[in-house]
Amino acid sequence: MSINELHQIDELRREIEQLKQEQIFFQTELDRHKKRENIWRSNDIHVEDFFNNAAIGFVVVDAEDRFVEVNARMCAMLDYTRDELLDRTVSEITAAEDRAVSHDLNEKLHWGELDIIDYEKRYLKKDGTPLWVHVTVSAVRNEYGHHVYSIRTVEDITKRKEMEEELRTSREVLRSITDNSPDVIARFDLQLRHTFINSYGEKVYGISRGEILGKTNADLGMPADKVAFWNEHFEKVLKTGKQVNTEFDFDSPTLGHQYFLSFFVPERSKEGQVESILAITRDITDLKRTEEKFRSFAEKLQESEERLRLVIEAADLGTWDFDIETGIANHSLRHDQIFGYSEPQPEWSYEISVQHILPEFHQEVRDSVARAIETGYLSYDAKVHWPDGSIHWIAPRGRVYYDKGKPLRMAGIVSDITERKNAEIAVKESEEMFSTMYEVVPIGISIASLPDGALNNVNNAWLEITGFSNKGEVLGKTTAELGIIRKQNRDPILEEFRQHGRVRNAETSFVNRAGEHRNVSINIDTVTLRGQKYLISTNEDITEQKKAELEIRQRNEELTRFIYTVSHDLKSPLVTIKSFTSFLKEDIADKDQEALEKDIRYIENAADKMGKLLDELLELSRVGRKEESKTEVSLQTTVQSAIDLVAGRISSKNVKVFLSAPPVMLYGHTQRLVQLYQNMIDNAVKFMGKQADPVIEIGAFQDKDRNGEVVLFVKDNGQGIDPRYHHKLFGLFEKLDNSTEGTGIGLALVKRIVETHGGSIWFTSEPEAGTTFFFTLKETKILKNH
Amino acid sequence: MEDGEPLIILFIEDDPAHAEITMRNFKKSRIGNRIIHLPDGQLALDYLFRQGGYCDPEVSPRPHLILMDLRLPKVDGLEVLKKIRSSDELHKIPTVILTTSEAEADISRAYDFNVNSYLVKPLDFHKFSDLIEAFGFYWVVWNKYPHGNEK
Repeated sequence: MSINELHQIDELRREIEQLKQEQIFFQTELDRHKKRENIWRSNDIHVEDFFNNAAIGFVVVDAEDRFVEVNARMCAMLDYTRDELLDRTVSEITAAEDRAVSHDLNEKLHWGELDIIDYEKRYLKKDGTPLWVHVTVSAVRNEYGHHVYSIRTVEDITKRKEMEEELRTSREVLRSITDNSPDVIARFDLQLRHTFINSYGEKVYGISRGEILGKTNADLGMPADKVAFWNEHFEKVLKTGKQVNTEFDFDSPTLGHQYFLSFFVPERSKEGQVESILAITRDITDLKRTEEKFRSFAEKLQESEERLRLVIEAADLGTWDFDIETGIANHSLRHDQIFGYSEPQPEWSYEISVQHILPEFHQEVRDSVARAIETGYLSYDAKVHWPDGSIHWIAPRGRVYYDKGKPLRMAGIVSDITERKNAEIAVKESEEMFSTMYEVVPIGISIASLPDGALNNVNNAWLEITGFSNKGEVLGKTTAELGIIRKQNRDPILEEFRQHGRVRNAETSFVNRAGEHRNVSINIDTVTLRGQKYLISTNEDITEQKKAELEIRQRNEELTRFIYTVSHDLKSPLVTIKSFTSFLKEDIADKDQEALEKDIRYIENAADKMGKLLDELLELSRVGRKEESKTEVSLQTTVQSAIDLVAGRISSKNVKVFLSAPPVMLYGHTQRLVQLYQNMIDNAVKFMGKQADPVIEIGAFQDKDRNGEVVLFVKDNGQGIDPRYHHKLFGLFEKLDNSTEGTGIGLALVKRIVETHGGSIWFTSEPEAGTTFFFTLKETKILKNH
Repeated sequence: MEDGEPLIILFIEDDPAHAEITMRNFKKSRIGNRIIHLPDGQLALDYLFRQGGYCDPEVSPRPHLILMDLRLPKVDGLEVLKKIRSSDELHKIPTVILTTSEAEADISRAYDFNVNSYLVKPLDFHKFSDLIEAFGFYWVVWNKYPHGNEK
């Protein structure tokens, strides 16, 4: 056979195969068809069954829209009985909103425009609730082609409608989400064309949805490198079937450097095949910036922590951290060292801390902790026992950390302040000592600010000198303003200060609050306190000193006068003696008896005078010596003794002496008191003058002008003392009348005796009327024993 | 003083013994002038100012020379000197002090009041005599007195 023949046989063989196949096919079809026919022919299924048992509603409606036949399913769907439905028209039980559409379409059907219509509408069930159905209507026409009946299928599409609704709602939600999302949401098909873009995406792309959909990134003009980048990720998603995330950045000319995060999400079909890619792109520029800040912040924090650690180390501080509830602490080595341990302690707690603190501080620690929990800050100083027995000062300082107002933990530092505390205590003690000294020292100290000189501080002694009762009265004022020192006294001091920058031992006078003058010795220096210049002035009250000095000066003057007077008064009789001794010689030669006698008399008298003078001087010097002890002695006794001693002269002049005093007790040296009265009586007698009835009265009384002090007196009615010579009366050797006897010492002696008995003496006198001497002696008492 | 008329010397001395001694020496030196002796400062002033018991000028003729002690009762010698020197009528009268006091202070004070001379009484009697004699010569014989003393 030739090749062609082979081919032809092949062809034929193939044709025969095909015909055979077709035959098989037709046979199958025929069998099927026959089967179908049989179903109908066998009467297993009847039209009525078909009609009644159908799972959808079947109705027949006439041209007037009335129900003619309804099946069971229809009744069940609408909850009407068959009879009820047959009574009604379709419109009646159609929801009002759907009547129009339904009517429209049915009209078209009626008039032959359409043969079959279908639509969705709502029937109203018996209870009035709507039921969504899908209706198909086919018309049954008569031989004229007029619509006579329509056969309708009514399918309950409630479920479908619900699903549709759900779907619609989801779509709405989704649309809302996508539209409001700040991310660009785009969907790409397998050809990388946009099939969805959200509102934000439109904004970002800058073009409307319509122009985006259906185009690839490249189509939209994205730069080539970007397109490649995106496509790379698309490929990856498609290949792996998994979500891919990526970050990228972009230099926007307007917004600067921008950062983005994109999620590429594969979307699968029902079969599980990736049919589209959802790309969600988020602008993370702010996030990135925040991340940057956070990172740099974290770095800085680390640096700070490092620095803090160095500082704590350098400052030798111990750190601690308590859990408030459990009391258990974290603690550094330095912390333990501050409590006296060289090795780190295995455990530590609040209780352990307190154990180390001396009991006298426990209350304070408790109070501080309570305060800390309230205020958030812990601070106290306390003494602790070291394990080696020594005592140290610690100063914990910390903060409380709260969570929702509840205190969780307390953390802080602790330092060893033993040295500082000791120094503080030393300073305080020194300050106290100085302060005490300042207040107690008997010299007035004042501090005044420059340049006004206003008083800044004064001590107690200063207040005493100036007579003010408290510092408040004087601070802020100058001594001139307070009237303490007169301008004429102040000026020379200021002058010295101006010249020398200080004042040394300037003696001047203050006027105190009561108006009294006090002598003061002033020293002024400048001092700088806390950067400010002040004047510091010490004022020593030297009033008593000055008085004593004056007394000494007066005494010295008195002494000098005394010595001159004595030497003069002793010299005088000496001159007499010597002269008359010479005269004696002459008179003997002249044999002048009378002159001789006169001479001798002069000499004798002069010698006597000298002798008496010396005796009385001796007496005077003896008065007031320490050996002279004092006792109580009655006035009466004293006066009697005195009278006895002067008895002769008293009687010779017929003087009456009487004692008018009440019982008086004197206190003094017995002998001297007698001497006193003796001299006074003697003096009174001597100066009775021409008094015919000479009387001397000796008495005593309580003087209310002298606060009830007892005043003694000796009163005479003699010749009195000329007022011109009153001031000379008590002067030593002052004799107002040289013709009388006496050395002129008598009254001086009386004065001295009075003074050494702590009293004073004065007198009143009228010429020719008499003299009364008044004097006081300390501790004289009038006895009240009536 | 008119020539021939005796000099009136007012002599004030409280100590009678001293007065006696001085007067005796005057007699010896033949100073026969009128010497009026007063025993205290007050009487001296009364005399000089013509008061008290000396109102009558006949009783109290103005002295040409005053010789007085410093220590005088009632009114001190220095006080008397002071009063004399401050008086228009009396200030010219030469006043000589004759006293036992050699005290620098006394001498100084006396000259403060322009005393004409200050003499110290020597203890030695002979020396005293010499003094009075010299005094006499100087003041009575040699010294010239201003006119118009009287009245």
